[in-house]
Amino acid sequence: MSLLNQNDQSNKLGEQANHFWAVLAIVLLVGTVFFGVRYFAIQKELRAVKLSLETQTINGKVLEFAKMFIEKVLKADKEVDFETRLKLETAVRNLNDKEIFAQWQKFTEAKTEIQAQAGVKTLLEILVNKIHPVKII
Amino acid sequence: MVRRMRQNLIKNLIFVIVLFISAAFAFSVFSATVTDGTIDTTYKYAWSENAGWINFGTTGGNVHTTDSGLTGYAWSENYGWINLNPSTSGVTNDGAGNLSGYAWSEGLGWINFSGVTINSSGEFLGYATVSLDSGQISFNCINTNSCSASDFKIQTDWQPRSIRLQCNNALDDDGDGKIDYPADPGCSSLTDNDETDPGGGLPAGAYNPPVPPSSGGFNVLINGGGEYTENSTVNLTLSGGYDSVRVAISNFSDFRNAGQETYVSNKTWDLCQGLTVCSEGQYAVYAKFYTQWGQSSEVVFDGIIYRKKTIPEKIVELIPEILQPLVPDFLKPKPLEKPPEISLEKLLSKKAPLTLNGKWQLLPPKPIKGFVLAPLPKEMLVLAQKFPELGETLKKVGITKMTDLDKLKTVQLTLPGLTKELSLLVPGIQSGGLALPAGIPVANLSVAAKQKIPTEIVFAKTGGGLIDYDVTLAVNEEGRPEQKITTITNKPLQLVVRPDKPVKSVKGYVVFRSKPITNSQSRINIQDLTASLIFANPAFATTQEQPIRVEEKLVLLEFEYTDPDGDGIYTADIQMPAVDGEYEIITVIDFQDDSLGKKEIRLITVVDPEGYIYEKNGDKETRIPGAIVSLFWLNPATKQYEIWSAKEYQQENPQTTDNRGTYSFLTPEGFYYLKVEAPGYPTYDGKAFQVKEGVGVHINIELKTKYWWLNIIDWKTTLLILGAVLLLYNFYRDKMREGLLQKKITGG
Repeated sequence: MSLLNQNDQSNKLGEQANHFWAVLAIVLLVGTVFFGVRYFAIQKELRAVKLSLETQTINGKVLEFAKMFIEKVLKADKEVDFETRLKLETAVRNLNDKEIFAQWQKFTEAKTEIQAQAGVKTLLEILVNKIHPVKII
Repeated sequence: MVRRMRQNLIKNLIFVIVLFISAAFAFSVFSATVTDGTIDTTYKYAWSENAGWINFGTTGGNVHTTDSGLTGYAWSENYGWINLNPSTSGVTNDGAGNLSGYAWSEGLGWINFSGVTINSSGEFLGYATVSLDSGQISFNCINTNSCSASDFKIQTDWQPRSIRLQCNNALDDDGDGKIDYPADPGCSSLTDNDETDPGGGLPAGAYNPPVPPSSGGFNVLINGGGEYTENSTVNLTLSGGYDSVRVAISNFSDFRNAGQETYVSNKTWDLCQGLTVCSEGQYAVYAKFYTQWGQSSEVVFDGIIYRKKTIPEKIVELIPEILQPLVPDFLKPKPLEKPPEISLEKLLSKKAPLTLNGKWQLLPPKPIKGFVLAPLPKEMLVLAQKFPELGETLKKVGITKMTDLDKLKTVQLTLPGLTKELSLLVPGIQSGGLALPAGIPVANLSVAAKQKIPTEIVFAKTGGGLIDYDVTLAVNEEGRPEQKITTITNKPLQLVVRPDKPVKSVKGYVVFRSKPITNSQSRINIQDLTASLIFANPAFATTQEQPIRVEEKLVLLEFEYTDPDGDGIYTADIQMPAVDGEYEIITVIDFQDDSLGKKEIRLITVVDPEGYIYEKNGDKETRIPGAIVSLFWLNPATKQYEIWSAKEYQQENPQTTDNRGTYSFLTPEGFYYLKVEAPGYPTYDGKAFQVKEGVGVHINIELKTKYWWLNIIDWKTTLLILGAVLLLYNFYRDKMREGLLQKKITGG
């Protein structure tokens, strides 16, 4: 009789242990799913933030170059000195934009005043078109 | 004998000299005229329906035709001189005989020469257009196939470049950078038709390098400009000029082992060509382009990193980007080393390029000038022509071009009414002093005065033609002049128009536009009455593009202008709508001459509601019917106010208000005040106010009742007060009763 009782008790303890592990497994599973979902959501957000930051950086660089171009080239009443040209070349290369760079080269290599005027118009148009609205997150 | 021989010799010598001088003169005239032509003495007239004959060959006009344009002055028999080269524009020539740009005439305004060409015989063809009225100037009878009836045209001895000899055509035919005789060494005279430089057997261009392409210059790109490649076989994109026929490509800057091959824009290339070992690393491809004469361009190059990916890197690449952060660093591909950059300082030339040497105008001045100095819109010019006072005002305040119009957006100009325009407005005289300054009905105008009425302008009158509306002219958001009159509901309006050509009919339409956004009539203090006066104004004619479409607009009234006495002045009497709002009166002139089409004259008409008399009850207004509203006018002679004589203006004074409590007066200029009498109300005597020209008096007037305090006490309040009084009385009686009982007890 007492043996039977002992068996019953050990069975009950075993069942309780099983329940505990099952509950723990479920809790861990739910936790994993929850944090997994959170992780993917944050990753998505992070990518959007990175993209926005990148756009802002590009916009800033393009604006900075456009400002320098207007200030130092269009408003210049004498020859643009070497230091300024160096700054302009560095700025245009830092944009890392082939279209802008090609147009800049076309402008600087113009052989006639008419070509230069057309180059200015196109360069300004390209610069303005390169500025994109930033999505606020 | 000897003497005779000497005489013959002298004669022959003189003949030869004369012949030589004549030939030289003829040659110089010929050579000068093909590039700087004058107008033929016979064919020098152009024709315009409006301007008549226009002479381009007057002695004083000195009209010249060159490769760049026309200069000098033409003479119009109706409108005077036409400047072909005004300072802000000018007639230009593209060298091929295609004219464009504008000439200017004080009388005609701007004349657009687009559409006029000069052919190889120096004959002008096509039409110029007068911007003001779109009238056309024909330069050749051939335009209308009417040469048999009237043989006219303009002809010059200038010739288009395409047919001129090489040494006199303003072109660099041999590409040596030098143009025409005597600048080009290949030209022996102006009549030389070969500009090629002497010597060598090759054209001058043969010694020039290829011309770089217009976009981006000479260039080579590996894999479209990519940074990395996994394969040593790449694709090259080559950009040579139009005259590049061969190209040399090499993996080495000294072009060792490289030969010239036919130039193509795309080509497959092996980065390891000519190398014994093809390891990973930085590679460059060099190219230079050649003309058919073997002249080469500068060397251009592009670089790329050749690197094969490892298996883990390939696996990592397959993992979606979102999971990339989970990949341990040791599995990720190592960042590739970028090739060392060449210092910009070394690349950049010490000498500034032409564009940055500060000598060129980088911003083209012509379009900027064209925008800033664009002439006033033609509607404004038409009005300025028809109302010289307006033209002078615009000139005085410095409004001469399109960009000046902003100054007018905040102000309103007033154009004179019909009587004032004809300078006929004089104060009348009547017994007791001066009468009101009345206008003159159209029927009473003299023939001379009628002829002075500006054509295609709608004038508005009222009060039996005795009150003229002034013109309010403002500039709308689109920079176009807009005319507006303001009147009052249900009031009569007489419209007057004088077409400048015989007409089949003149029709009018009253079209609803919108309800007014602001009610200028309500809540105006009597001190501010001048703000609510009515204005009137004319509009100008534009060519009707499409008929008035009833389905698109709410046409409230269609009417016909009539000219019973046949004096060319058309009038129409209409009644303003009963509902206040913004309307448009559209007058359509249908000319007898079908080629003139139809013209539309638009007049925006703001119809304000009538004024009313009311009494305030809390937040509500109660209109007062049966109130007698009298208008008093200040007689300037007696300096006394007297009742305004409304009958002369087909109105009543005083007016008795109807069930809606409304009244209104249309008055000429002067000082006035209003008096209102109504049973049960004290008499209202308003303050004096000034009325300027063609005015509506329609203010809302509040009357206070004599027994105003009765309004405070209504039956509910009375019952409450009565109940409270009775209660108080009851309390008082109870107190009294208690006092008496107390006395009885103590006394007892």
